[in-house]
Amino acid sequence: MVVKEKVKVKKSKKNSLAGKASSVDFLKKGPGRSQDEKVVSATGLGSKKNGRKRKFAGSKIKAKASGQLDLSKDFIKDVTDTALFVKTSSDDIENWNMEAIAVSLVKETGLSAKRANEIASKVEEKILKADLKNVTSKLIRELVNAELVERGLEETRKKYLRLGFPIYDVKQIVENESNKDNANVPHGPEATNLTLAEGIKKEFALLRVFSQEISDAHLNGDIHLHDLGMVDRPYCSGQSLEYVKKYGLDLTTSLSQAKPAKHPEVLIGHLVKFSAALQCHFSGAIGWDAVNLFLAPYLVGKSKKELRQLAQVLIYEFSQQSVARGGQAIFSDLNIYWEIPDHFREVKAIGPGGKYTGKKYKDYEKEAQGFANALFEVFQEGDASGRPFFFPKPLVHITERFFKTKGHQKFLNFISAVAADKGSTYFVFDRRNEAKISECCRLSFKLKKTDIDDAKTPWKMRYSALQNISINLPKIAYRAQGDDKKLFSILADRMELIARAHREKRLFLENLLKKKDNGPLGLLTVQKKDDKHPYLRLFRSTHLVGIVGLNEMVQAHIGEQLHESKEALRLGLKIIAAMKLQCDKMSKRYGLNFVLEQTPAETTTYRFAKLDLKWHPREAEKVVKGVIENDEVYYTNSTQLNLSAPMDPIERIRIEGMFHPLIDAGAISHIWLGESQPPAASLANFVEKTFHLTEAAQIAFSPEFTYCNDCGKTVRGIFA
Amino acid sequence: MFKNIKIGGIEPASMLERPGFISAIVFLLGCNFRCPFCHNPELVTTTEEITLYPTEEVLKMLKAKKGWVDSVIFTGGEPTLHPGLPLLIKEVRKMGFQAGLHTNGTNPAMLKDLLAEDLLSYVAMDVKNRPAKYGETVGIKDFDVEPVKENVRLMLNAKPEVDTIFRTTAVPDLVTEEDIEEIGKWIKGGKKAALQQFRTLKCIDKEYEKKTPYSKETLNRMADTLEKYVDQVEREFI
Repeated sequence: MVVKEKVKVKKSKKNSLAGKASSVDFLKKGPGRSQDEKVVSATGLGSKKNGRKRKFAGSKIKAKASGQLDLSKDFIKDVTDTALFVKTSSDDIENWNMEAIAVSLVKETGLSAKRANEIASKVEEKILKADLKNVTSKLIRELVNAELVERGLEETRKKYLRLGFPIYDVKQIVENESNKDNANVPHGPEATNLTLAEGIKKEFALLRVFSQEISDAHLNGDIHLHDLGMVDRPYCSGQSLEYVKKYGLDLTTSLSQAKPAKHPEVLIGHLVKFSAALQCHFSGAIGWDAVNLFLAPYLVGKSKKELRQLAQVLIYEFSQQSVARGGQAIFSDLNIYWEIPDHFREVKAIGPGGKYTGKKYKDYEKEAQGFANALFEVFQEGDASGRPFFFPKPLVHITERFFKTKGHQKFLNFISAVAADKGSTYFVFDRRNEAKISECCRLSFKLKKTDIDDAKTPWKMRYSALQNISINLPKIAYRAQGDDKKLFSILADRMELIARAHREKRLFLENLLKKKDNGPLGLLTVQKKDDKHPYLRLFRSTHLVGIVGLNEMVQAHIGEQLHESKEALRLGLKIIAAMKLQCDKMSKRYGLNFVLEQTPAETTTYRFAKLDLKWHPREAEKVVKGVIENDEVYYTNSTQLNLSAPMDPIERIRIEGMFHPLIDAGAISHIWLGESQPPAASLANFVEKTFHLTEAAQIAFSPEFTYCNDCGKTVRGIFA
Repeated sequence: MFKNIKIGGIEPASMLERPGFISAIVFLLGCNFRCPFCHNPELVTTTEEITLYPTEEVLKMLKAKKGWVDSVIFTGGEPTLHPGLPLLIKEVRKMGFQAGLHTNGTNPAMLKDLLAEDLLSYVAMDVKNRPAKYGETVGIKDFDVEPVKENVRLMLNAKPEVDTIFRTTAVPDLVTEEDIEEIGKWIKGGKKAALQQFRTLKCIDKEYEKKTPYSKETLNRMADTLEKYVDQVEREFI
């Protein structure tokens, strides 16, 4: 529904022309309008909608125009004869109304009434001269902007911009192209909606949410502001099933409200629906902590077959949410434990109906393990054609207690077999007394002492990173020209820039959240009883500083890659240590929690490499990876070593692991299996040693697959 | 110290070789067989063209992998052709690694000593074909199969803690289903056998690159046959 909001602007009597000030496009209207704008700009013609009738101008203009405007008779005659109509963006056709231009200019840009009127009459003059039967509000806006440019009113013009796409692009998007920005977005009407909406929000973000300084830094590739098209959302969300078990499913935007689930299948339904709702409020991953453990009180007495069925429902429901945001599957993580981790052992278990069962979680080991096994059976099988499930991702946490828990070897072998065969398993290492909740493949939050206290009331365990901003490291080396001092001082400046960018985004989000139920993020502001905080706990939130291209930065600076010499590795470690230190310092100074993370977006490594080849070709050509001629270029992601470096997996994980303790928000090493499929027991051996002998925070194995589009079969290895 | 060893290559961390283990694989140069289907010809004949790895350097590299690598496996070529091998195995054992050996079974004397001194935890022996077809299969006229037979006996009588495995490559035409039956009888009572798919990739005899490997069904039948005679059969084919 289109809601019109009348805005009162003091009319300048002298120049007031005709009609209703509120009727034309230029006045701000309520929510829902931008949707209509798109329809119009896409179809090019305003159609009748909601029973609204076309309004014809005629005599009204004539009367008022003649009375109040000092125009020549011929000119007035032109106006009345052509009966100029304006196609507005709210599917209406309105009378020509010059005053509306002035009113909107004053309202939207704060321009003086005098200036606004002057511009409006200039535009009117042009339009009338052009002898048009009707004009669109878009055209008027373009003409106004041209006037603003001529007068050097650049800042005013920026405020008066219309955001959107050329019709050619819209046609391409709607009819042809698939979304290239995100490998996880399928093509379809929902997906193109997402692309179009994100395009507009991205422009909005760069013009309105972030300052000029930050936007420029993004556009020239000094930094990358992730998910600009979803600027009105926090980045990622991690929570536990306890929230849903305790409070049921109560979505502010939904028409019905569900009580706490009594049956496991209903609980799984709540879990998936809540994830979909969260996906619509966050730009990144939705992670669930200790899923198998928190589901366990609902699984008492279930047979193996029933557990398998439930696991299947859970995985398929997650991976087939093609009706969710933009037709995407939910980027989801399931955190799984074989052992009952120390921080949950003595916690009182919540069971069916959201009631305490009278037992503690340590009493549900059998059910939790049964479900963990069932989940991996489904992951092992893959989908109907044997393909791996890409979402949800199973992240198995391994704590010290894992190795003391009965059956761990068999389970480790089993999940390693799934890793070797399908590559699904992520191994997360929580050494010593650390506990992590992992979000997406590169992002995890280490639980601090205060969080461990949270664990006693697990429904409060809700964590979010508000924004992710990556830094282009190689570019810093290009600027430093081999000078150490310069290198670190530019690095420090960039970090400060990122901190300022985070603050701008946070202020924007805080403003949205302040509106509570009336704002777009109402769902995140819901505060339940027994809970001192709204769903999104801002005081716990983090701000991510992503790392891109450490390898190429070091290579550009001293001529050797990380794996090529001890000096290179030492410099790499020094850079990351300096970044971590600065994060800690800035956290105190800004009162925000800045943490380093390994950037999960491979597209950013491509974007930086491409931009640098454009602006710093001499330096960039020497270090970018990939094939420049084919436009397939990238920087090595985060702190990882060159993917094609000739080194065995032990060396790789040992060296990459050295960086992980410096990267608080989570890090991962990928072990490339290629076409070989090692025995599960050997992988299990490797995993166990990685836990004991390295500081690597997380590893995953990457096998290669070929999926035959013709016969639908999936086989391991690469087949052309 | 290790003059009688020619090391042609090393793979420092293999997860493929021994299930459950991380192994370093040391390739020794030269072979006394000329199997027409062999796909490591550079390790067999062209020894001069290969850069040798100094043994000391290999040991240094192994030292850096301590804790990670469980076992060091010597393969070839034919490693037992190198008189210095037992000494190198002892050195590796001293460093705390397990030691393993791939052999074609032509040097039972060396294997006997190594087993007697408890130096090996893993021995994989190639059984190329039934005894009557050995010469033809390994490309040597008037081949004396007796040492190979002795080697099979040593394998069958090895202590239970030694992981022993008999390996056969199913070479089309050369190793038939009947041959597999005979091989089974020969290695009867063995702990493990492995049946490997023949690969057409860079064979010594180019004619073999044109052969069509046995189908999966045939290979499975062959593996079933072997299973009658040994405890466990690894089916190393897709």
